[in-house]
Amino acid sequence: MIGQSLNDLWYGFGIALQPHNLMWSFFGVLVGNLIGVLPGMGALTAISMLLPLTYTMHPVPAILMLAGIFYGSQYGGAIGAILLNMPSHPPHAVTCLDGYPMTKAGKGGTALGITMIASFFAASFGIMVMIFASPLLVQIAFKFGPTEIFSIMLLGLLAGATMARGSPLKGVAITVVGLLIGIVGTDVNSGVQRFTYGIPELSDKVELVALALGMFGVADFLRSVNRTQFVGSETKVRLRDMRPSKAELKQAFFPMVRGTLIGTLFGAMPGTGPTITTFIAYAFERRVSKTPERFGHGALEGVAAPEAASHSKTQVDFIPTMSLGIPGDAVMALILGALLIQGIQPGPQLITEHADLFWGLIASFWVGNILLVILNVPLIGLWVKLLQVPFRYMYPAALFFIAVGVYSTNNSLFEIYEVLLFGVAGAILLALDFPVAPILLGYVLGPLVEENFRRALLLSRGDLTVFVTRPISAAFIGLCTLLILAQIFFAVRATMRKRREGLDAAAPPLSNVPGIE
Amino acid sequence: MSAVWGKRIKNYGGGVLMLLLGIGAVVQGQTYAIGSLSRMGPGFFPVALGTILALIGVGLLVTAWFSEPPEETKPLPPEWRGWICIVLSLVAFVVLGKYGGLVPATFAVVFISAMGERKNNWKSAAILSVGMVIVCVSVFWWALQLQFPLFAWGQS
Amino acid sequence: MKWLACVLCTLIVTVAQAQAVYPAKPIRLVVPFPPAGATDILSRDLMQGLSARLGRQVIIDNRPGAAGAIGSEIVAKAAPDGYTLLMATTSTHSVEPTITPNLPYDAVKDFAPVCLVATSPNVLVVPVTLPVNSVKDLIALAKAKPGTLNYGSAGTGGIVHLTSEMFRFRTGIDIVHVPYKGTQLVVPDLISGQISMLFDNIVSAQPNLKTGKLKAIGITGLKRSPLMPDVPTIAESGVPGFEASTWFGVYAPRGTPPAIIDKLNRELVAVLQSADMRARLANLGADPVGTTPEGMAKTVAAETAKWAKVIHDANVKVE
Repeated sequence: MIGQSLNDLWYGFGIALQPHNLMWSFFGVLVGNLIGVLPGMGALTAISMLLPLTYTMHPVPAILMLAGIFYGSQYGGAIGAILLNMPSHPPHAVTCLDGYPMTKAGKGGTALGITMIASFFAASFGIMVMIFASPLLVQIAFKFGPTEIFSIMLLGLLAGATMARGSPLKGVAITVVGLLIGIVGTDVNSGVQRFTYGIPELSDKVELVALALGMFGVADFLRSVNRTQFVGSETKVRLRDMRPSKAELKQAFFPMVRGTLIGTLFGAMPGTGPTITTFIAYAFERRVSKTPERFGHGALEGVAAPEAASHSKTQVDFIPTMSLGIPGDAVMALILGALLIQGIQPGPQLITEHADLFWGLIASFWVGNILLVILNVPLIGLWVKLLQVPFRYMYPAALFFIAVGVYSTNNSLFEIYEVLLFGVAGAILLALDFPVAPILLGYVLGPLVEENFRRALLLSRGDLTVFVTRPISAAFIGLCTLLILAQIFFAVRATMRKRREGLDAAAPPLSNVPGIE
Repeated sequence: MSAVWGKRIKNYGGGVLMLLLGIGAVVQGQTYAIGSLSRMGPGFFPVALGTILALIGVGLLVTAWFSEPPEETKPLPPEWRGWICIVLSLVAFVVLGKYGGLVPATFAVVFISAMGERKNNWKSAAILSVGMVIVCVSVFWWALQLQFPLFAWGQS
Repeated sequence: MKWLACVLCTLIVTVAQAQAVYPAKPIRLVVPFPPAGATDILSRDLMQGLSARLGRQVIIDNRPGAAGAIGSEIVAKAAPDGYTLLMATTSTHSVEPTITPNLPYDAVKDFAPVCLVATSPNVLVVPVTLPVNSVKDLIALAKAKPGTLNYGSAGTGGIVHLTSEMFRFRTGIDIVHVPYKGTQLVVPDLISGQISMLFDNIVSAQPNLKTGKLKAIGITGLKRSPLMPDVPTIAESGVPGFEASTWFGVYAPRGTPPAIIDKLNRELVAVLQSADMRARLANLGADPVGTTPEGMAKTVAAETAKWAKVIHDANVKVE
């Protein structure tokens, strides 16, 4: 079996490296990378814009190009997040949390370097999984019904709510706010419009891109205008600083591996998005770290893990799409559509009927990733130089990119108002010392949690015990309980310790009294 | 005087905001059918979340009351000029985009927001705006085929 | 006086030009659904053919949202000069008007029909673990165990939901509605057996049918689909007269000059008759139609009435 796969892979390389296909691969990767840097524009926008181009092309280069745009944009998205605290695309919001502080400390180049390495590693791993483990992962995916998805999402919510720095109470509060924002729109189970106040554009929910760019980009501008000179630190960044040191590589290694595994796992499950994946990778990394207090202030692991997760998920995302015809998210749906337009049916027979397409695609992933690393590493210097542009020139330009980017998502000007609203709200929340990232998590997970909870109950005819009688779901519910208990335990212990210290500080005279210990 | 108020707002503002949001969610959520836990209606989740949020809001107020006041950090003075310009610039993009087209909208968003910075003057803001218009037309409109008329008088 | 004459001349020339040389600039076809969906792919295929015939580019403008209402509203309010058109479908003009209060457009009054271009049936699929092999078996099983079978849909008020409700009413069986955010999301639960049946899109159901993960037991159209000639229609399997296909048609804003509408209609019909287009549409599981504008108005009215009855009988409400 493995021999056969390697044979096919060799054949695939032959196809991917043909000059014509290589050229289109490169084009897609380049466009994707550039688009990925632009805020608001993600792979979705790029692919829908370039889709018509594929009509007159042969299927192989067409799909190679579209796929290149997809994973190329992942590379670009990290750049804005790390250097400017502006996630070009929501999954990279988590990278801002530690990437931006690193930039402010002058280590932006290092963060970018680590991202490149983590991305390539994770993508390679994802590709290998795609080749050898597709059928297995697909089988596992089928075991996950609404009950299991609910339990996992609940776990993700709890993990995420407690991961933000600062007051845990505020972290939970802001997550709940995110949950509420996620409710705005049409309720799947009943068709009722909730919190839309008669505005048709809201019936399809608040746009995630608008939320992310408003909360991270515009809010930051509002807080920094007239108060900030430069984005990065004022010291000159030397070329040497951009290459991560051996110690840093070692530091990032295991987080990278863990992030990759999480991304691979979530990539195989249909219906889970990249945003959830990166958040969970970050939260998990923080939880297993021996020094969690460094997170949020420039911890390298906080950059390596989510980026690795994002890249491996991107590659593994192709599995359900190609082998089942079930797209994991909107971008995959587009690629699926492109295949259909070319008259190609995604599904298990794709591998046999269109072997050149399938194996050529897989080989092109590797080729494309290598091209991206070659493209990006020299560019790191360029991006970092960008930081030397004074803030007062950068933010108006950035606002323009945000406006156009958000518009292009749905050809809708209304969503720019959403950006504005969330920008102002975000600025207020930041001023009140609330962390902003958990809002995205709540927004993404909330509807999933509710939808799957109600659906599970529909299927079980109102039987609540179904969540603990189904084994996988029970396992996750158990983890949730453990998590809550652990939190309470730590909180109680911390309060008791503080009280004891307070008492000790207030009562030294007693110890001077003889007889009392 | 303003320093004390600044501290108070920071401490209690969070709690008050969460409390208000929570109550709002409960009030609005009640207009939808609630149902029960095993047969959830559309209103159940919002009401439940709103209640949790309101409770957390109260909790924040309580912890603010009992905690020691934070150190004397002078709160930053409000930047009304910057804020108003940023907000206006985005509104201008939408309004001009609808009635004027992509080019005036681009110019407006860059120019108006740039004027929010005290260090920017008319000339530098205008140059930046023109530059961004060029980028916009070449990258977004021509290369990426963005569906947005450049100049759109009287079109929807 | 002279300048008045000049103005009048220019006006006449401009109007004459607009009429005589249509299309003088690219035409915008608003597709009120996201890219790469069924409506979008169909529109793109069709518009390629139309552009070639007209000699002018037809640009697709995706304006998704509110089940097609946002895009429809844009065209309803657009200038009736023939340069803005709408690709409408059952949901935007036959279902939404009945189901949604305060729709920002009037499906009949604000639009002028141009041409009904295609119809597309759905296929009724069940998991392989379900002991049925035909529609008759399914009805028998449902009647033997009322309330135990369920069906998936793409959301309350959507075509899949309404088709299922129509099926339920005509056969008198008791099945439970489980809504999802899209038919593709139903498939994993359908395959694992947690969902008992789904009226799925013919094309996207193919992979799982070919690998034997799902069984197809009926087509919702009046005639069998060329993509699956062995599968009987539901009408021939014990539910006579059952017909539930999605229609796709082009509208222009009310007030568009009849000459322009006629020209568009002629070109569209010609495109639909070409062998290449018929093959492409067949690939998408769609049957080409190509009616006159009056024919389209009649068909749409009939469809609207049909679905209105289903909505009323099944008490479907969207607030």
